[in-house]
Amino acid sequence: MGQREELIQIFLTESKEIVELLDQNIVVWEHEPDNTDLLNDIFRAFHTLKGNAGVVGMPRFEKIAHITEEILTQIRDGKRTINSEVITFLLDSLDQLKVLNAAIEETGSDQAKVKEIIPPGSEKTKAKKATSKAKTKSKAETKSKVKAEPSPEVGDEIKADDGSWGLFPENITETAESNEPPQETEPEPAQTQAAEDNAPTEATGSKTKSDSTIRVDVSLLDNLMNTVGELVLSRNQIMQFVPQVENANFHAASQRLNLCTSELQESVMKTRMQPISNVFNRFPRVVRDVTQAINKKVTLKLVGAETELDKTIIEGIRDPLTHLVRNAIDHGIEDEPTRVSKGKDARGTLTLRAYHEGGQVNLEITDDGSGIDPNKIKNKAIEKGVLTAQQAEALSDRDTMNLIFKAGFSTAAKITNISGRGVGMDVVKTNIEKIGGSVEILSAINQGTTIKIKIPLTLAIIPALVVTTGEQRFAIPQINLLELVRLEGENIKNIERIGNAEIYRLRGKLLPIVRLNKVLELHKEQENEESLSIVVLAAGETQFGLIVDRIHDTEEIVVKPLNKHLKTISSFAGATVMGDGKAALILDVVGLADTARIIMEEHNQKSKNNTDDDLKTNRNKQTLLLFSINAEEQFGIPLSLVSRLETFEASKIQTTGNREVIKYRGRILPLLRIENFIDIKPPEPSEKISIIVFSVENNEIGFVVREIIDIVETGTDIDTASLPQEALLGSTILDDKITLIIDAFTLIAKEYPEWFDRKAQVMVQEQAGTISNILVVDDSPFIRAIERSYLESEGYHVIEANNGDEALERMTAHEIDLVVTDIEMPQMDGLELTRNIRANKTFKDMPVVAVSSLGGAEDRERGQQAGVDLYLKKLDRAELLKSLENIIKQKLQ
Amino acid sequence: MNTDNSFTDSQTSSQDTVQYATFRLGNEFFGIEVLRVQEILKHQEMTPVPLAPNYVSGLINLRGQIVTAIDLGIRLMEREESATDESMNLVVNSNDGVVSLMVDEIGDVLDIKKNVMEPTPPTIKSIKGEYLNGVCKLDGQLLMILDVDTLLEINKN
Repeated sequence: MGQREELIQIFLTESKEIVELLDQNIVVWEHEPDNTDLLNDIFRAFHTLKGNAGVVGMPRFEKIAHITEEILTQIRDGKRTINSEVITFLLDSLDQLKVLNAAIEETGSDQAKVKEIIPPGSEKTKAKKATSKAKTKSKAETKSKVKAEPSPEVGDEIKADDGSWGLFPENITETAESNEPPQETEPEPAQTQAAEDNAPTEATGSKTKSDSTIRVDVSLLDNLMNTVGELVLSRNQIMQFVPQVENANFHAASQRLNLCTSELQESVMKTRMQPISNVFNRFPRVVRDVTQAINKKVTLKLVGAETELDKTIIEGIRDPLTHLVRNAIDHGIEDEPTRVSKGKDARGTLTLRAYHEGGQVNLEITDDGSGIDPNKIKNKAIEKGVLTAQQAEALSDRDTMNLIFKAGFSTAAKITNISGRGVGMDVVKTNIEKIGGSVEILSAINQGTTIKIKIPLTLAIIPALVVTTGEQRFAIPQINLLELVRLEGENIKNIERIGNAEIYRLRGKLLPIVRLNKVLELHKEQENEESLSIVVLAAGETQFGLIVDRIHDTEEIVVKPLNKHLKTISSFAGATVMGDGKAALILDVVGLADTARIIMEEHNQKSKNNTDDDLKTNRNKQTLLLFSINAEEQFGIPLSLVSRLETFEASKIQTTGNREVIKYRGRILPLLRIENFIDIKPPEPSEKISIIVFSVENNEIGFVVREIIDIVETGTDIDTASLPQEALLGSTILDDKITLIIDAFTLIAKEYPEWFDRKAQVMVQEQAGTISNILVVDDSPFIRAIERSYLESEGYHVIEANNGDEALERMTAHEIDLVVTDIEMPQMDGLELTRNIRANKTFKDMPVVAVSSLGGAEDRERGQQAGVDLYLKKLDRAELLKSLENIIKQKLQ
Repeated sequence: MNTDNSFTDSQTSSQDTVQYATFRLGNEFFGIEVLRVQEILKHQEMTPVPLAPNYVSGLINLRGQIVTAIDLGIRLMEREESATDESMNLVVNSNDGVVSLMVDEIGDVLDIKKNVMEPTPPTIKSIKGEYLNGVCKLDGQLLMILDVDTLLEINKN
């Protein structure tokens, strides 16, 4: 019995290997029907299968292999030509062999339920008129897939020969149309779909059959890998001693040890490497199956199939890739008529590309299909409540694409193209992240979609950054590392604290701050108060800053699992042995990111509460960025207008024409000096300059200032009257200092008038009687001044009102085309005003845009009930202008 | 030796005797099947694990293998603070890999007849009875036989 089991094992390994190879070869053969070498290979393979099955006593397996071999014999002898039917028949046989393989593996016998395979054009087919196989085929496919010589001739030929299998292909079409139930001819119970579904669709193992390779148990390789890992660590330890020993022989020996270990490590890693073709090679079959089922034409291109990856990773990407390939064909590539109508090649192209880049492997799945429309996604996202309309507006196309990977998104009903596309994408993403990879979508409408996957080469030995906190060392996988930030002296204060949540603005981006000593409850204060080391990490979409005491080197570490008592701690991914022989823990960045997310939520919650509180007490609080230009005056700019802050050496400023610029991130940033526009003392030259960057449409401009002082919250008791200068919004007193509030957009408009899109204004002028006079209603003169500056820069004419009552007065006195109103105002608030407008005969169609810092859904609803056309966030310039433009467009239509 | 306690020469151990490695925690005397013990080490450099259950002392590098050290005094007797630099590492094989048990003092290996094992008496208060397989009455003292697998199970709470 033992011997037989062993025999069966050998049989299984080999037949799985052959079946997998056949899967690929048959699909290739369909496209190269004249390739007799391939035919011979396929023929031999079935013959071997038949022979092997006979030896181990698998009658059913043997029979299927035999029937298939017969068909192949006919083809080889020229009695039958290759066509779609034959290929499908061959693949069907293979599927049944897979079912049997699985059954043999489980039970040791091939007594499993299989679908009867019926050779194309057999008498049986004719007699019963239908087979389960033929039933699934449509007439169209039958016709379209014929690749070889015209079928009728072939049919004749076969008929003339003996007729035992022969039948006109036309008759097959006939049978395909028949609706009679499938006929089972084997005495076994009827085949079930389940049995087929359970068939292993994949087989592992190398395909090289040359004598120069041997089969090795994977566990042996794992073992070897572990041992080499230890050797690497021992080597590291020895290398630390080398400088302390003065012995030339020892030095030479340790050098050799060093070299050999590295080579050994590399070789052992290689033994675990497999070409990605192990995964890629299943796709010709997958593509064929999917395209046949949905009647599309797709050419599959495989590029870089020889790219090698660790075995565990190969296994990890198998399912996600299959899913993506199916998706690309099903939802990406259009059907033939659509493609032709778009002027594209009727045949779609799907390219799978693999290549090495920077110690990682990149995989790209590219289709030349319809692409993904970001607007459709946005609408879907709004509909599903994933985003608010406002958030959606602000989202870049790239970020929008990545919404597809959001969990809630993918469960969408199959209404549109994209919703179908999203099915299971969150699972794809999770699976890829599980093996330390990342995934990204690039898409252009009607040009196609590319899904880019980055995965590490191996998981066993990884580069990691070593940090200390609370006198303990921790390793952080390099793959999660974005950058290192060091804050010194005053800059430490730049970490904002709201409640317990800490946030750092890194180039304008909010970065939740996680203190490692707090997360790990190390009960030790930060070691060094003069400087802070922040490790900026990314886990999927979440980015956060991790504050540690000290940052050391990067090291190659061997990842070891933790004992079950420690596995539940989400902060650790494993442990490793450091160069000095001590154990150290590996941080789980994904786990820490959860903490970061909580911080972010708390921050958002708190800042919302703060806003609410502020509104009750002093709701017109403004956040101002304070800066200086010379030693005397202090200036302020509403922070909401600022894109980000930068510091440069003054020497980096260059002059082109009359304008100053600075080269920055590969682009040229034009600079502007405020002192050129308002009457103040020019600054004394300094080595360092700070730059406040603003965005106008797609342009950026930097204001050169001497120093950024602070960010403060202040009530808007801003005097807009007493300092009448064009470039100033007003003045206020902060810290006993007069602070001048700069009107940034007016300044920019003076320097670069062409940046301000005048389309709206032109349109307005062309269509007299649309919108040019805008009534701005707000109880804060400061807010009014800012809004006025926005609107006037776009060429609108602005009339101001202090509250609802005043607004109604102005409306009767002036020709008003549109109202922009605050909600919270004394006497008559914005909602009341809107109700009044709607109730008035003359004004009832007046567009009303509400701007408010109350951004909740309830507030919006109340606004809508009152009759507000649009509800916007306060002081969002781009949003306000865009909305006005839309309203004008609507009016024009 | 005391015949009552059925000590036999380890050479002659037969089917009805089991060998136990013994150790002490405070005044208590414990035994563990010798076949479970991989090795015994004196104090090892320990890497503490933040957020770990209190009975985990830390991680040891055992020739490149990461071994979790369990403070048996805390796990078994709920002592406040137990393992010291004097503690010994009793490295045992468990279902979940190799684990080191931190004990105060290592004793001899004893051959004990199976039939002298008794169920754990409920009167033992200072020790968690669920982690014991039973007890053996030895000369003047009680040898408590450790149930390693239960000991290393994760508590449900």
